[in-house]
Amino acid sequence: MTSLQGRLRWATALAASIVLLGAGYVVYAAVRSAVWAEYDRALEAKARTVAADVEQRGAELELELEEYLSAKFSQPGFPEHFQVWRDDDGSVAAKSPSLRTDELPKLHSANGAPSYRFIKLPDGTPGRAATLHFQPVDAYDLDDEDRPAEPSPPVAATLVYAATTKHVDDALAALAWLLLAVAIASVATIIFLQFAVVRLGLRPLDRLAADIERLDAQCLSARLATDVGPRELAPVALKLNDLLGRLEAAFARERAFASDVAHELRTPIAGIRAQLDLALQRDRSADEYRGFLQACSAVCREMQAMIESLLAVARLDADQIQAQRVAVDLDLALRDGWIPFAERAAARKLRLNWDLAEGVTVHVDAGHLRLIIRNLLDNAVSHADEGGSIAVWSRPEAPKVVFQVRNTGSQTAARDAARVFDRLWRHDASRTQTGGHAGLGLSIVRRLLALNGGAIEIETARGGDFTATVTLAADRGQVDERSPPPLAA
Amino acid sequence: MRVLVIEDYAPIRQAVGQGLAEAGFAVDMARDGEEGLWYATSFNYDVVVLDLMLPKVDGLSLLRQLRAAERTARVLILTAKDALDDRIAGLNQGGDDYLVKPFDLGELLARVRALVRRKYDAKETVVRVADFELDTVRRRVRRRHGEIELTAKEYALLEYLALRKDQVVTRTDIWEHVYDFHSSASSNVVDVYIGYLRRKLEPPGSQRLIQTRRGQGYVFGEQAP
Repeated sequence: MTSLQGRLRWATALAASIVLLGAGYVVYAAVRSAVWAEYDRALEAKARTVAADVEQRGAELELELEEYLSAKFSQPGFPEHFQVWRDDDGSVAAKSPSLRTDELPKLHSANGAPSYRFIKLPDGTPGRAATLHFQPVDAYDLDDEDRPAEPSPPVAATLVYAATTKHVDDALAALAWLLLAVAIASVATIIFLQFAVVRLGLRPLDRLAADIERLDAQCLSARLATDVGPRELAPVALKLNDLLGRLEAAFARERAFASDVAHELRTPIAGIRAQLDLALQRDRSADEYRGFLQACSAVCREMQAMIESLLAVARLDADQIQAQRVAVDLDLALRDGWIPFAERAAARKLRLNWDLAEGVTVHVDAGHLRLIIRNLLDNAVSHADEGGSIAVWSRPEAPKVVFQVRNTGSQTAARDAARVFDRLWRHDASRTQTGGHAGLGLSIVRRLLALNGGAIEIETARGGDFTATVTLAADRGQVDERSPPPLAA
Repeated sequence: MRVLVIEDYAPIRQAVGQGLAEAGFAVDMARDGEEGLWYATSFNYDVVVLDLMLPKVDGLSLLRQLRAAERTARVLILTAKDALDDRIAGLNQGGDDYLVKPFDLGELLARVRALVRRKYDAKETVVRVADFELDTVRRRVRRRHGEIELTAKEYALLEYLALRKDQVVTRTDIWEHVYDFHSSASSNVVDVYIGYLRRKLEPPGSQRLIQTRRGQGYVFGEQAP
């Protein structure tokens, strides 16, 4: 995994190195060119001094060095040399005593301005040569008695003046090394400082990371501190806290659900166990045993229904159920759905009022609609007060279809109307009062309706009516029927 | 001994009620908190078997109201909640014992018997008076001359007398603790059963164990010298 700190560190170090080395090179180049320009000016001055001492006497060129110069050039190992050529025949007219038998290379040069070149001096050290074309002055004054009557034509000459550059080279090399050393030291310092600064700067991030590391599913109640870190991190911590809050709520919901499920299953198991324990307490007649077996069988059926409902909820939660929507006759579906409850309703002396619009088709998954109707009717039959009534009506409200199941004697208070959709919620902590309902029915109904593009609304008042109003999409055939028939028909 | 079972789930209520009745208890059953509270505050039960999740009135508030009414019944809480907090809440509200569903019926009977013994301060499962011995677990009665066969009702009456030995027990006490609500017997049957018991328990020549206190009731124990 790449580290933000590491990447920052390397990027800054690279950038600093490039900038410092570039700057160092520019400084070095500027200094070097200034130094050489200065050197060349000095070289030219020296060359011109020597050239001024070259005279033409008749056809000959002769060098009359001033005394102090002559002394300088006579010193052994003097690191400056010169040599003068005649331009007409190319012969050497003069050279410095420091050259002894050696010669300087003759370089081409335009008239006027001298040209410069790095050369190797006779002793092998590096040097620089200036080449100068010039016209030596006439050795005779106008009133000189030696002056020949017929003056010789003037002879042009070329002077090469060379001097060692060792000290300049050394100085420039020293400068280059110094600049390089400064650059390296600077980069190192920058890397170190940047390391420290970045670490210091990112410390809140590290703390945040450490805080996050301490979180797990067991301690979701912990929250990240949002007031200690820098301003930039506060939104991150806030968002994470938000997420933690939602996670905590979801985990709590799941834990509560799991514990509720355990509780729901424990009660019927306790029933079976108590019945079986009792049956086995002593020898009994066949009729008694039959009674126990029937009781156990009834509890098993109840558990089975509950487990199937739980499974349906789990599958709906996991989006594993898909709706295959087709046209379904709502009138028929409601009447079919009532069949299993007719007997129970009669036993509870419930009156049933049907008011169904005929020929209404809904666009829905047929199996889902069956389940929805079964749950709603089951609830109505179970929850209606004995001797009360159940009303079922439907009517088209293009492009929708609405149907309603209403029962008297609601035990659910109006303020709990929204909670009836919670998994395992019941108006009462008990189970038998609701006919063994686990509190999953309406939760399933709502999810199934959502899956089928429908909706459900609950209205209830304790002691009054409990009304479930379901809205479903009408089948397109239904909608077309209401539009004007085509002319051909 | 008279027991009230308050449980909304029919398979459990029926099995526990029948199990207790077969074990010799006079049993009343209630289907919800309201009914349970009425029974519990109307009669002197020895033990109340109480489910916590009840319709109408929930178990814990029933327990509070029962204690507020100063009923001395021992309460065995029966619930599917096994979280420690729930147990503590149940015991704090005046519950005497706790059984988590699903439970063993035999264990429930044993705990009910233990609560009965606690109610009557009996440290042991066997009550002894002179040569008389009553084993509350095996439901056997012996005297020197051997084991005495009793009907369930006779045993229930004798057990109640034995647990309250050396105390004056009124006919109403006996009637309340030996017969359930649906029994049609009147308190006069107590005298009849006392007669049956004396015949079986006190053969000629043996020490008398059941004394009559005229106008008060009966005392079970050794005859005062």
